[in-house]
Amino acid sequence: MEITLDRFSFHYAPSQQDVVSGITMGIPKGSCCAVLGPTGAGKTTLLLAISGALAAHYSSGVGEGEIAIGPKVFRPMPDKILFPEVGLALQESHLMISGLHETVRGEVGFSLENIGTDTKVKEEKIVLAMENVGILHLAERNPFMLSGGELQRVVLAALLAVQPAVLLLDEPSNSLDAEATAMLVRILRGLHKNTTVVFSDHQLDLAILVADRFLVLQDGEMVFFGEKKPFLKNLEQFKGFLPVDQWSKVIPQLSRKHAPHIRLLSRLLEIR
Amino acid sequence: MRFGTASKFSFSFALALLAFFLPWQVSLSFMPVIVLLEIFLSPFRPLSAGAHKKFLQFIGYLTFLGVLIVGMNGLLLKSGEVVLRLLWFNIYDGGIEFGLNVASRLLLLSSAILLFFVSTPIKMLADFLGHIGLSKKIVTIILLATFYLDQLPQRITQVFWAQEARGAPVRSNILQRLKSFFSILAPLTLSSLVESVDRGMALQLRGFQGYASLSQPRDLQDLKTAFLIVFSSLLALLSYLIWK
Repeated sequence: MEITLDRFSFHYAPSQQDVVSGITMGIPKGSCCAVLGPTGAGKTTLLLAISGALAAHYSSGVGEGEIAIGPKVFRPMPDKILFPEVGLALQESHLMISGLHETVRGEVGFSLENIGTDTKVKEEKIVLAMENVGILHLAERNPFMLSGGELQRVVLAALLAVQPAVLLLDEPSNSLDAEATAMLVRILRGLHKNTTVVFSDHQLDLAILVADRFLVLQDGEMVFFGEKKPFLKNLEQFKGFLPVDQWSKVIPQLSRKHAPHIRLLSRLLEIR
Repeated sequence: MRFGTASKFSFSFALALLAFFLPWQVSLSFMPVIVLLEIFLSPFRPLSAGAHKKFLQFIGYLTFLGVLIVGMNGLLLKSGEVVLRLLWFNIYDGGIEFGLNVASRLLLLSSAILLFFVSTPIKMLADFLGHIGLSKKIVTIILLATFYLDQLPQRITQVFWAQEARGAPVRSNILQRLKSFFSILAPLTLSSLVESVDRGMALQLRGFQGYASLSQPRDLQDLKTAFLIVFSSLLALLSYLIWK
């Protein structure tokens, strides 16, 4: 599904200033957009707004503009959670664990259960999703006994099992080690054709490796929105609030040689 | 006859209700029945060995509390005959009778509730509450509360350690401990509130509707059993009240 934001602004209370202000962007179906910016830039608020959780849970908040997801236009934003069309993984993955199931397998199947998936299909989808994120060996473990990185993957598997048309991930590389990040890169790249992905991060690694669209926020304002080439070209301009140093040395070479960004960057990062 | 969540709920509910009306002799006679049910009857078996241990511990604490209640009432409630003299204290039979009534009610009520929760997974409870028509909001609130209670001991330990690391006098004398208790309570309450709101949102983000929409309501097949339990309990209670 295509996601379009038109001059979208939001503040949590009438007396407060905008947390996100005048965001206008269009993410085509099947593409992957990284929302970048320092802490407090409005990344989470934006993801919550698209998922419908913002209006559903912060009734005192005031929004302006509009958000369109596929053919549906919401003014100013969806007023209810759009699950299962839109799936959002919160930054704190332990919160996403329902606590209603005592095994990872049950937890992955929880969302499927909620949308009324047939038992046989459910089992197949659970196994496939767990295989995809490499947690099949954790199937019978208690989710609360897992590490942060493992928990993150359980949440991702639970979302992938539902196959949402729009996948929103709030800082998915948080608490992931290098190996798990590499796996996340592979998973997100594999999703591209079918699912529109929007994820937030304050690091550039994952974003450059995976995303084809970039939204850069600072203090709620949109500093940049565009495709990969112009983003990489203008990387220096984000130096004040994004950790671009590690990348700015590499990017000019890439531009000159027109090398395939992903492969080279992956090698430089020793991922793969 | 199927004995699922609905039957278990009605059985526990009936016991809890009866606790308010039955004489202490009858109430107390239910106690070994509850323990035997917990040990031998599969629907009432606890979810883990740890839960079984905690159940028995809790029954032990309750019994101790019951004895304390009886003793204190016998000592303080000066009604009826003196049945025992302990040094310069008199124990009255009226007080003991009153204490036995209070203690037996407390024991039966708490054990009946505990018997249900120790043997019912939260998911089954949520499904059951949803299927009997409780609104999504209420089911979510109940779930969040049970989740919170489940995590509470761990949280208290975490906040305790954090406060200790900050130099709060959590291990000194009783007065200092009482003072530092507030420094544990405040972050505990606040963080729990915030987390409960976020957890509620996370449940919704995963499509939680108050109960599993397609899970076969097999548990509801035992509604007949549940109805029978409630009906016979009410009948027994009514007969007892008339006879009395």
